[in-house]
Amino acid sequence: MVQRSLVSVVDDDESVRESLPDLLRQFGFAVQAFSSAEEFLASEFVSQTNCLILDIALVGMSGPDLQQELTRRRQAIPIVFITAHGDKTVRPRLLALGATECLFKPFSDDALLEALTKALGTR
Amino acid sequence: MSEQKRIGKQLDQLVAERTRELAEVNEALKKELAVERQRTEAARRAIDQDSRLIVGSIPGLVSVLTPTGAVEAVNDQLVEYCGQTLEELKQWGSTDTVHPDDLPGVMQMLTQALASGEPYDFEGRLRRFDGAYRWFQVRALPLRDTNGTILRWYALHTDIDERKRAEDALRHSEARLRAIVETTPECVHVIAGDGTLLSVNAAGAAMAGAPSVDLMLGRNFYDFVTPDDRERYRAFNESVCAGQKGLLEFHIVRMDGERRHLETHAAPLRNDDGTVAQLGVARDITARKQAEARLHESERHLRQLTETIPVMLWSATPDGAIDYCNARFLEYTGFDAEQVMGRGGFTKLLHPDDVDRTVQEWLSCIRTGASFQVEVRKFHAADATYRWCMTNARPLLDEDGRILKWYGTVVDMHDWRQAQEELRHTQEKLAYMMRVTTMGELTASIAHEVNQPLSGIMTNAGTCLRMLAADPPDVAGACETARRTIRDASRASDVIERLRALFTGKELTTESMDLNEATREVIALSMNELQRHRVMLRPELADDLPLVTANRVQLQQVILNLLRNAADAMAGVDDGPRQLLIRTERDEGDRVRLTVQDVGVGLEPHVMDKLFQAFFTTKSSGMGIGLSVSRSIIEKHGGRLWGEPNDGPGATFAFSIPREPARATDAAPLMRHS
Repeated sequence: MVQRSLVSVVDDDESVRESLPDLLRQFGFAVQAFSSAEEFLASEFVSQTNCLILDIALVGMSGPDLQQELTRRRQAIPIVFITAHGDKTVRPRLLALGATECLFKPFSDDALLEALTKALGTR
Repeated sequence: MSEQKRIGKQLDQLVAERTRELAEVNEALKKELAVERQRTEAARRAIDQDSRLIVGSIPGLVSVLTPTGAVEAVNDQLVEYCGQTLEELKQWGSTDTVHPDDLPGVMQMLTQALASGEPYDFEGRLRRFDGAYRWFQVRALPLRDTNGTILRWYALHTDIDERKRAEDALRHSEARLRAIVETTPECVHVIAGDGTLLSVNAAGAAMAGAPSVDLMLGRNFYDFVTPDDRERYRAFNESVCAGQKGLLEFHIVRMDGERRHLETHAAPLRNDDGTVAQLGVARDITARKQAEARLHESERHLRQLTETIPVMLWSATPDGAIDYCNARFLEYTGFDAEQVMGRGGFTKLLHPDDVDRTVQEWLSCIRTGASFQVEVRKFHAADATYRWCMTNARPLLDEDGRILKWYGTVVDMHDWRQAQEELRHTQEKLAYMMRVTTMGELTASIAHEVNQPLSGIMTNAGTCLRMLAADPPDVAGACETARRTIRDASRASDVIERLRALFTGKELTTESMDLNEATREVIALSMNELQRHRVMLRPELADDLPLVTANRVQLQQVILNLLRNAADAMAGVDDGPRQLLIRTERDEGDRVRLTVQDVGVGLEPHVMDKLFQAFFTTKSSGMGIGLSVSRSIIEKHGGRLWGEPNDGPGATFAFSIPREPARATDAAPLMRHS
């Protein structure tokens, strides 16, 4: 990989913002972490982001809200949703709305890599 | 002439003859007289001899005085008594033979008697041979000759010392008695059989309102007695005068018109003339009677009170024996007073299982004087069951701290106790429901809380492995991620710790119920807490609210949660009243709505979204599951729960549920933001 893909992480859980970027960098990605949807939208990285790892339940604008907002802005960024809630019924709905994957915390590094590969491969 | 001479001569002869005869007779008479004189002298000597013998043998002290008063002779008894010779006794006027105090009087008496020749009689003290003075009565008579000339005085001295002393003693005793009678505050009187007041003391006069005793004497005492009591008093007086002792209470009207209540103890008193009078001691008992009447009235009042008061009352002697139970007590237990009274009688009223501890407690209190308080099951006659009662008793102490009496109450607290238990049970259930909701909600909450750190652990562990597997291995990075793994693991452990107290709920049934009624119960339950937080609660409950089908406890849990949140939100409101409005009303679409509005801190926009998430809280204490659980409950009832800031200060939370039975719970949209 000459130029590393940029993966942006939006999660209000600090431990996620701490641990996930390290793993992603081990995978070989460039990483940016944001604690809210609003912060991400206001940043310069929206257009540079190759893949978005997005928490569903966020303070303020929620994950699905951000997904809609990006669609509205025609920013076709592949999205891997992550959620700590165990409600499996949410996954098909999100996939139907265009999400690449929906991972339920806790997920393995392999599952994440698989989802990212899928997201970046489909771009 | 010769005839004359012859006659003359004859006459002379005759005269001479008669003279001779007369001289002879005279001579004979003289002889006779001398003989007679001799005989008389002998007789007189004999008499004198007799007289001396008589004087000597008289059982008294005799002295013989000359007409001038000088001692001529004394008998042996007098000599012996005085221990003086006749010569010494002749000097009595200048010695201490007569007591010095009596001597002047004796001298005067004697002088008068000698002058008048009248017999004299006086009493005086004569000195005995040993120096002791004894009282004597001295009586003297003059002895006169045929011409009435006093020849001698004979004086008899009779020893009257015993009598004199007895008289003195009597006089003293009488004086003492009189002093007692005169100083006694009670009326001492003597009343004749016809009612005449013969004698009365000063106290008696005062009692009758008379200024002096003299004004009382001779009056008829019957006149003082009130007309109502007069006949009774007359019969009493006559009975006493007939020899009976007696006691009588009666009324008098004093001389100043005041009516008094008297009590007389009387005994018959025999007068010198043989009549019998009433000796009475009367006491004014007006004040005592009034006090008695007041006491009686007070007792009657107290008895009335204790007998009509709807509380069981009892009292006991210092040794613990029941000596009084009021009517309510006996009516409640169905026992007779006789069965309950005395030591240990009360154990018959108790449930057998309560007897031992009650008796021990009671005995301990009797010993120490500590207040007695036990909860026991007492027999209740009306339904022949034992009911829980609170028995209390406190000792009445005298000034030395000794127990005079125990006074106790018994209060039936059976219903109260049951209500308390039910209330406690309800509160426990509510508190339990505050923490716990249905299985699904809880597991979702747990999953979320635990999955966050678990996710961190897995990510960090994966990162760590990859860093170590790299070439060259990133050891420093691996160490960092391993540390994070540990941290997240302990975070997960904390969550588990917090959840430990929570239990899974069980399926709850629904019933047709009145939301207003449920609300009122919650208000009643919360009133203390609300008042403690100085919250002014204003309920506005609609009159025509339809019934709902719901789980009562769960709905009440929601209402309670909303009230508590509102109260907590106003904890910092100090510049105005902490007003809390709770309202029920019909809502659109056959629904009923309950609204809780406060004037507290309100809601920040960024909080709104997380408000209903489990474990989210803006409070420093609490698990933050209240609103989440509440919403879950309301949604299970086919309803909706929401919150919004007010236009002014504070926030409003409300729920709306259908009046009809809710549809199946699958309508509940879970995690609307996820």
